[in-house]
Amino acid sequence: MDTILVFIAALAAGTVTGLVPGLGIFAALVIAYVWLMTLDPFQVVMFYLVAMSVSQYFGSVASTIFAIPGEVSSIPALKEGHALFKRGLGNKAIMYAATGSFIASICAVLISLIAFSNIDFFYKLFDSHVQAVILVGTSALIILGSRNKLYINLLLFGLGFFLSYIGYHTNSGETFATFGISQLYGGIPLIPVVIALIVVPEILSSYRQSIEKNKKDVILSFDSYKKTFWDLRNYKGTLTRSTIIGYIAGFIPGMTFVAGTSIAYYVEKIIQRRKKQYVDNQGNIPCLIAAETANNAGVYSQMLPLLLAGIPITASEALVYEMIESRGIDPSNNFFAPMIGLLTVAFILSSIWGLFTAGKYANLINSIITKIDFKYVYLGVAVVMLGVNFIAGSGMYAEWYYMLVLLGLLPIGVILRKCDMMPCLFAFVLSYPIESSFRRIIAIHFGIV
Amino acid sequence: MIKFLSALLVSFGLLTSFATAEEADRNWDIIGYGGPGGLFNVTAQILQPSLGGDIKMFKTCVESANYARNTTKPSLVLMDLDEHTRFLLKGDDQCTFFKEGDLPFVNIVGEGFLNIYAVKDSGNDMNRFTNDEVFVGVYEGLIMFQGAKTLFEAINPKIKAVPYQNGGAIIAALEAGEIQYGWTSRPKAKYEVVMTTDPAGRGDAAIAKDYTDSGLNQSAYIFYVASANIDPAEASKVIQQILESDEAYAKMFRSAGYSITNGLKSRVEQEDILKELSKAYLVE
Repeated sequence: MDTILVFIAALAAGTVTGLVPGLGIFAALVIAYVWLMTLDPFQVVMFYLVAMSVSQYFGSVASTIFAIPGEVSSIPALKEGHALFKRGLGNKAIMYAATGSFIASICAVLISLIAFSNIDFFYKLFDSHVQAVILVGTSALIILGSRNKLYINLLLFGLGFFLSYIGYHTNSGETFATFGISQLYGGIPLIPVVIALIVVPEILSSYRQSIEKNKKDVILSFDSYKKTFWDLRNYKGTLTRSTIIGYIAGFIPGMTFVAGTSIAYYVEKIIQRRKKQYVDNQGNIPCLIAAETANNAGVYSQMLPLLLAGIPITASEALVYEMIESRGIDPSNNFFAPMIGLLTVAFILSSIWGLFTAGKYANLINSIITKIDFKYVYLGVAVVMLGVNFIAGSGMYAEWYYMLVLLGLLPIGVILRKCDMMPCLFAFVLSYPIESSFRRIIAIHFGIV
Repeated sequence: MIKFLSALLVSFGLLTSFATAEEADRNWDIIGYGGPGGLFNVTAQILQPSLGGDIKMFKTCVESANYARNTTKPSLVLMDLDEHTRFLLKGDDQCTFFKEGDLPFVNIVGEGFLNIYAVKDSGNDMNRFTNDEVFVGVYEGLIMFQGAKTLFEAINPKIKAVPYQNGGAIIAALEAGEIQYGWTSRPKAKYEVVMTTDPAGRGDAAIAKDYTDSGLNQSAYIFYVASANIDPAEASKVIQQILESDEAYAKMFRSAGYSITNGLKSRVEQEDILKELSKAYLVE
């Protein structure tokens, strides 16, 4: 009974973290920390896995309908899914994303069952050198795959790096562009960057279009799951490719499914461009499927180093590891091995829940927005995003700082609204892992840091 | 659907709040900073149910110190050696509470001794550590990293320190074979401690001071508590009572070599201790 309650709480936590920008899975673990410490270790691991799995489903729904990225990994869904939504194809975007995610989750489980005996090969592969190659490769994909001119992409990538570099650097003890302001020591927070550079320009463009749009165009009419599964056979190449990319990228320490989502998305974008099937700002179903498929495959595979070898490879897993160890338990493979079967069942159940409720949730939203002029929905989203920014800031006791950062970056977002800002955002997110992996390589080969 | 989601949210709220129902009436906040699963986060979670107030975690010590100086609520402020020393030595006092008239120090809470560890039966033993070219994963924080490098230099100049963001990343690299040893204040039971700066409870591990005269051979990871709007003596007593009787703390910290050391020291004494440690880390 207790385990069922924990499972339900994990579904709720995953739903909330998927829908609310800035409330990631780590935040959910911290909020629930005291309660989790009272649970059986199996329940703690299950809570983490289930919540993370479900958050991926709901993140893509919020991104597609409202242009709100619940998670960093939902940003490709925002770009492609919301563009499809504006074209009246939101139903397809949501159903393909949910169904593709479900297929990827099941495939990840099947791949793992086949590869369990050799699974250590994957995580042992990702040393600092391989991580650096992947990160540089991903950056190149992003710079080449975004729709702006090459020099604009390079400038935007540089801007992202610059923004991420502001603050105090633990490793060098130096500060950059802090001007003695205490909040700037913590750097520029992600939430106002995403809102100012991605969400607001998207909302501005959507708002203009919604004034001229017939309300009927945005009303969703969902196909059945059976039909969607059947239709997905047309995208089997995308599904296979992205599941494999997402699954393998899930083993990259510190980056896991976020890296997998970016790589799969940009690989698909380049393929679609070559086929001349990618049209800017129109939304592309294979790109959306690629991103959503990869993140769910990665959610499962990122757990495997912890479950099979007792190795935490993300900050959240490190926290789970600590929670277990604090009970005097050695979180080794011997400890986790008997849990894998039940955890896999919980993961599959959570995927089924995500598949059906994410669609149902979209239906609920659908029934509400049919009664409202959609331009008011965009205005509402803009107000909600301001609120989210304020609340995210107040969580760090810096609500006015967050608002100032948002205000400071908004002109950039508005002026560059016709540009694809993804190079800037990804540089902002990936700059630390890139810098960190190169620092380690230099330390290994030259002994200097 | 709304009812279903609401029920889920309520159940989550109820379940998570149930465990925190037994709160003390002190209503003291805990202010800290740092990464996920880190020492401050975990310690704050352990202290909070007995103190009753909120946990306020910031990204950097500058932000937390700034908040602590301005809060009107009774609060305990967690600070660590790494951040503290750097700012003290550089003359930048944004992170320290040593200034005249600033918050009083009430306690040195933990003193976890530092350990070199390796995968069991991997052949990465003390002999290899002292003679071969090997790689040791160390937390990338400036003082900790420089201190480790200095100590390694004194033991075996061929050792290379490799910086990682946190303990999880060090373990992943150790298992992947990128490094042969890790450096930590809280060794995991599944790994073998090869060398330690404190032999208590470390079995057959070699003792650092037997291999080098460096002032760092007895180095420790220390963190401090300051009090804001609370009588220092009372704060000190309460912290000691909670941590000495707490099972979770015992398992995570005391068993890992942490001890609640200095009950109540004067500001001058604290400053002297810190300056000595700083010199040991940076001047060696």
